[in-house]
Amino acid sequence: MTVAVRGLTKSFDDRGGKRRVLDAVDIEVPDGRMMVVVGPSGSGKTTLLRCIAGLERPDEGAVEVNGTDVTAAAPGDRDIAMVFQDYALYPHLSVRDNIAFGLRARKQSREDIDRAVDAAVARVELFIDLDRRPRNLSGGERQRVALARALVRRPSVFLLDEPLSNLDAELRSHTRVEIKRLQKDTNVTSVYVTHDQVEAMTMGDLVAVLDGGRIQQVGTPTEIYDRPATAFVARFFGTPGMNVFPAALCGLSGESLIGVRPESIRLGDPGTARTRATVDVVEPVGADAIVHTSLDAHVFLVRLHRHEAPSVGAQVGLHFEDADMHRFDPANGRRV
Amino acid sequence: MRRPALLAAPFLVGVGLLVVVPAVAAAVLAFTEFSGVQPPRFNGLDNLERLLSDTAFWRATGNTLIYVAIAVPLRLAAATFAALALHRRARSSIVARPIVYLPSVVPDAAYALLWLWLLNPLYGPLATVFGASGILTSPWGARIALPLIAVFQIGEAFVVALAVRRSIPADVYEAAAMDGASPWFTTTRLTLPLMAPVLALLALRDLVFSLQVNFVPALLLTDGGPRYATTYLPLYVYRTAFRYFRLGYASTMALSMFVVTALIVYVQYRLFKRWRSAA
Repeated sequence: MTVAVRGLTKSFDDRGGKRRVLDAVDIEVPDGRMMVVVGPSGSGKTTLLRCIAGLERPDEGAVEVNGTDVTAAAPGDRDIAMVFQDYALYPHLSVRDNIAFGLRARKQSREDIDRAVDAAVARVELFIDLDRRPRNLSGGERQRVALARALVRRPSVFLLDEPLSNLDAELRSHTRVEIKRLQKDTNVTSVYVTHDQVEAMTMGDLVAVLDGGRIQQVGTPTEIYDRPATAFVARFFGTPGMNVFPAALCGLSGESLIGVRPESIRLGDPGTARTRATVDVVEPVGADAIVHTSLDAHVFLVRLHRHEAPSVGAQVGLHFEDADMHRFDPANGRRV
Repeated sequence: MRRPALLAAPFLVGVGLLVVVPAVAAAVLAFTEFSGVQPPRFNGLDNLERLLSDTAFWRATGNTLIYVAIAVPLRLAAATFAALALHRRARSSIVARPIVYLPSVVPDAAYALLWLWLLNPLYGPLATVFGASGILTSPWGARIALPLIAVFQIGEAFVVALAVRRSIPADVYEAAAMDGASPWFTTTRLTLPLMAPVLALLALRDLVFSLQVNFVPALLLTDGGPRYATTYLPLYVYRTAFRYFRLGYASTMALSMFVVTALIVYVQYRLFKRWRSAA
């Protein structure tokens, strides 16, 4: 099943005026793939997901599931399941009844429901007493119940709205892998929303970057990392994101913006360097260190092996290859 | 005296003088013969013995139970229905909410007199338009009409039910929408179960309330008739005390009413508790 969004536009009332949250958004998720929609908060990613789900009605544009226009269809008639950020479990129902709710609403037989619930529970490895209530479960267990509830209906499309945001760090990386595995095993076309670029890189077959209600770039994680389409995408991805600065800062002619990844910069002899800077802060991150250097008011981040990190206050030269440089148009931020 | 106690004092003195003292006095008087003219004379369990063989008392008890059995479920259902219909932040519900509440702020006597006019068998609009002149003149007509009149005075329960409905998080409804639940399925499997604990509490409160609130309409609309059909316990107690001046005997009845109320509340409480732990 494919999911496509065409020319989706949505505004909300905002203090008497209208605020455009989505602006002519086009995306297409191929059958069986997971697309991660990533962007900062307020970029419209959750609204986009809710439009696909049918919980919001777009002002313009269409939502298609497998080529069929479902823009006017009720959420329950789209063959789409959703995992909510806060799980949205039914608090008064047991785990079993939570998972079975949708099947009961569709008046399936008791035997079918029992069988489907057991299968879904096994699939997400939910090894707990199914008579318990959501309030007695840990965050990770609730998460699995929410996943099982989405899975049990065997939907054509899976929507996940920041499903990891309420989990602690350890559980988050564990669950990330599990959701990915689950998606591969079931082969259900999925749209996954997150603000976390690491999550986007690790989870997505495809990544769609959203900012200010507009799609900045759609591509594989490698494409996005290697060839960011805009300066925003360049800065957003990477740990830390790309350095983007005016060409003049490294002695190049022209008005364009130059982008260099922190891990592509080497420190060396100031004499032959592209540019010189002063070390302000050295942040250790495990085996690596992130060196914050500055030239005038401009900050360059450099990612180095811990042992190569200079001392604070040192004057260093920044070296990088031509091949590692990205150029962006200063007017609109687009790649040139 | 400490400050909180001082601040609470006016209220506590009022409650003491107007509620506790009369209640204790009534409990004592329940075991006396007292006409209000001569000093009370202790007569042990004579009043209770007379009560058990008093057919008028049993009839009043039966009338009261009929009233409660009709009024409580209907009032609760009406309050819940109104809350579900008007919980949205739409202009129409903002207009309609005070209208639902309004009958509750009308003084009971005025409210009763309004219905006395509406239901008047000779010239009342309901009687003349619908030809329903028997509403207050036949025993069963009156037995059913009086609790029905009370169904419009549900302001407090409505406000509580509205607050509970609005406290249910929206994402649960979105999950149900994704699950393909119909409005009916959502209401019966989601909304009502989630509201149930508070609705149970409202039912308890309304039961206690309904056992007593029938006094004014019974006094002003039907005067306990026709043929004693609406002589409820409060009215019967009132007449025994202040028309026949058998204050001791009236106190016995009041005390037994208190015991019966407490028993019903206790049974209902146990039932809810069992039902909640089973659910």
